[in-house]
Amino acid sequence: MNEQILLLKTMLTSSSNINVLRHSDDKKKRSMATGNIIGFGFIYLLLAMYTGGVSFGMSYFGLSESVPVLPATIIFALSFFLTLFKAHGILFGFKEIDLLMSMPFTVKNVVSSRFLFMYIENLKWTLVLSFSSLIGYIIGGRPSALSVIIWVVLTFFLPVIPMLVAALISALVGGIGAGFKHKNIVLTILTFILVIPLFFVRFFIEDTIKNNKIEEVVTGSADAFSNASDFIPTAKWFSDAVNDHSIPAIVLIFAISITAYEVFFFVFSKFYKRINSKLSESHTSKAKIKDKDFRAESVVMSICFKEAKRFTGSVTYMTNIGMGAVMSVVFGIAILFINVNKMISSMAGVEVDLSSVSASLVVPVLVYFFTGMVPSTACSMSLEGKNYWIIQTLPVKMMDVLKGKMLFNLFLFLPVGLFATVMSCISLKANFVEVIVALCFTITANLFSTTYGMLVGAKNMQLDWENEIQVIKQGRAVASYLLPNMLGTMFIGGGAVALGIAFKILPITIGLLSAVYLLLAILFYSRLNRQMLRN
Amino acid sequence: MSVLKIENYTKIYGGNKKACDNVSLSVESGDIFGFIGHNGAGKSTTIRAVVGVMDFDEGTIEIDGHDVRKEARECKKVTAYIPDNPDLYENLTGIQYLNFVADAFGISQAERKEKITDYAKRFGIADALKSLISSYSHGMKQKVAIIGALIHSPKLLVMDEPFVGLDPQAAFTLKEIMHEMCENGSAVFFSTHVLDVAERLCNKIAIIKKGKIIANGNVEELIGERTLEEVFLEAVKDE
Ligand SMILES: Nc1ncnc2c1ncn2[C@@H]1O[C@H](COP(=O)(O)OP(=O)(O)OP(=O)(O)O)[C@@H](O)[C@H]1O
Ligand SMILES: [Mg+2]
Repeated sequence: MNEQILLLKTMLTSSSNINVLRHSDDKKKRSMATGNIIGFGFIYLLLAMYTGGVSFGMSYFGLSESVPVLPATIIFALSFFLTLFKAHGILFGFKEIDLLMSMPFTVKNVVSSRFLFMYIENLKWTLVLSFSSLIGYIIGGRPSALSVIIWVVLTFFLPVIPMLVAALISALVGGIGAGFKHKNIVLTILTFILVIPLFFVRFFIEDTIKNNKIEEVVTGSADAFSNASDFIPTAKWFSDAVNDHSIPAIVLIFAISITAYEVFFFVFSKFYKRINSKLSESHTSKAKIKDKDFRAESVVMSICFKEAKRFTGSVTYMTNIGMGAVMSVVFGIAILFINVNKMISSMAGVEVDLSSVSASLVVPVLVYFFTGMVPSTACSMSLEGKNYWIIQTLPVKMMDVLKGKMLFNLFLFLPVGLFATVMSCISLKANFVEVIVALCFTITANLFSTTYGMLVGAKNMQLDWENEIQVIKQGRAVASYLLPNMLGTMFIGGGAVALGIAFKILPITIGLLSAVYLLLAILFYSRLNRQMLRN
Repeated sequence: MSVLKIENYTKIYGGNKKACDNVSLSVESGDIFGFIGHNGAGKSTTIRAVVGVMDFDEGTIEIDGHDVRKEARECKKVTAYIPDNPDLYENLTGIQYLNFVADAFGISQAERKEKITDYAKRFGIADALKSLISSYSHGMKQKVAIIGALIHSPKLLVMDEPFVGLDPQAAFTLKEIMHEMCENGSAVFFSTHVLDVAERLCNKIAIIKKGKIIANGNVEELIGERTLEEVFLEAVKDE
């Protein structure tokens, strides 16, 4: 069998839920695996319904020319970001590396099979997105058979280029960071430095669109995507290929994907061993132990410290979970310079005048999207992994362990959330009541995300993972946190904001929302307390 | 009163695999109790239930008079465990890990300083304690795990194949510490495949075969004129 396929097949089997279902008799493991499959299936279904619906709507209103750009853009952006945040953990420092390198595989095959593994994982939702959009497109727009065929075939190539760019970045970052003493920190900072400007590209695109005055929301989103295609080459080629059956566009997608793949892995494999072995070296110290090294702490603080070390010890953990904290800081600084009125108008799609309502109260809700995205508590239990025996054999209350973990999450997100909130209050010249409500909201919302994350994290503990990515990005706990929190914030938070603006009662609606978060936080906390007492 | 008392312990993995079947044994204060058996016999499965990292189906396990399932915290306070694979927090330094354990057991600053410095010197690892655990060799991790286990002067020390990977000097030190503990009224319960060590070190031995205890008692009575190796090979031979 082809080396690459053999490697890939082994990776896929060792990490898939289906394998557990087929070979394990353990009922608990089996039901967890089933739960995983159902949970992710549900998310895919929602995604499919959404993109299918939008594509149908656009085609139906005679905008079918603009439909292909939609999935192509989303696939580009998502493939890029998702790969960027897991490439490091997949490409470097995996456990089987010594074993694989000792076997007669070429470095290129070992490394590229890891990439192909990410590609296959990525393909799951790429196909869901693309094909659901295609169905909407077919029903609403009645395209030619050739267009459909081109769409289907090219879909498989769409994620390749963005994923390769992400892998390239992560290889470069790895290469640069490998030489440093505190590698993980350097690697994480480098990644953020590269990623954060990209978020502003998005704002920049949005800004250029909004200056063109929009008539309708539908045309607006169509415009947004056709405009995006100027920035995203694969989206443009895909669109030209499907709409005009353009041969050059088709050839470009094929040729660039394949050439870039071959060239990247040819070069990367030459440097791979050096980078990887540098990355796996840990810092040693010859320093003598001093009295302060023996300082006694309370159990909760001690756990919190350990949690902080766990966080800073992993690039994957830091980039994925820390992203929200970094974004809040960036947002807090940016808010001093951007016109919030304009931004909110552009997000809502209609001109709103915020000068007479308490606009400073809208910002904390936006900030919560960052600080509450994924709390560390949602994955920190699972991240104990093979070390879980330590906690199990120590005579500490389980609740103290959880308290330490929750405390760490608050240390991570509360200060940055408060920073962004205060900045927005300054920038928007909030009055006393508004400042108090804004601060209350930020505090209670973070208490909510911390306790809710902890609850699902403790309930969906997954200890037998091979790679951190499995719990941080694909974990059941994270999945069961992400969706309810996001939808909840979108509908309830969005509702509170809309009502507040419409009736000029923002301090009241946001105040009520804070009360709801506080109540939920108390509820979750006491529920955790009760559950832990039983154990 | 026994320090460790296992009665009719049965563990079934995944609903159908009986890994331990009606295991009973007891470890008294001052005992060094060796637990031997072939690969997959059920040693780790017994040990993991004793220290509370794994749940089980039937039977009772008591440590110092407390039930490990009902009074888990009381049991953990007097027990120490060293697993077969010393998976420690890789992102902490050795000293940070030991401090963490000391915090969990509520050990005072003065006491932890004395214990850690003393044991670190005896195991020759004092110079490495400020380095990250991820930079340690297998044996170094094991030494840190052992020191962590001894910090709170446990009444019962439970170890799963503690001698694997230790250098001769460290193995000697560990045996010395086991003797010291027993003189102070504690007890040691450990699994091993090194039969001559077990024969010389232990005063009691149990042999487990396919999840069942097939021999259990004082070393002299058990082996008589033969060696432990002969007894073991005879005992586990398939009928
Ligand atoms: N997590 C598990 N799930 C299912 N079966 C298991 C699990 N762990 C152990 N077993 C089974 O239980 C039996 C006893 O295993 P155990 O690990 O206790 O053996 P052991 O005596 O410690 O062996 P060794 O000397 O190899 O360490 C084996 O048959 C093994 O296959
Ligand atoms: Mg074992």
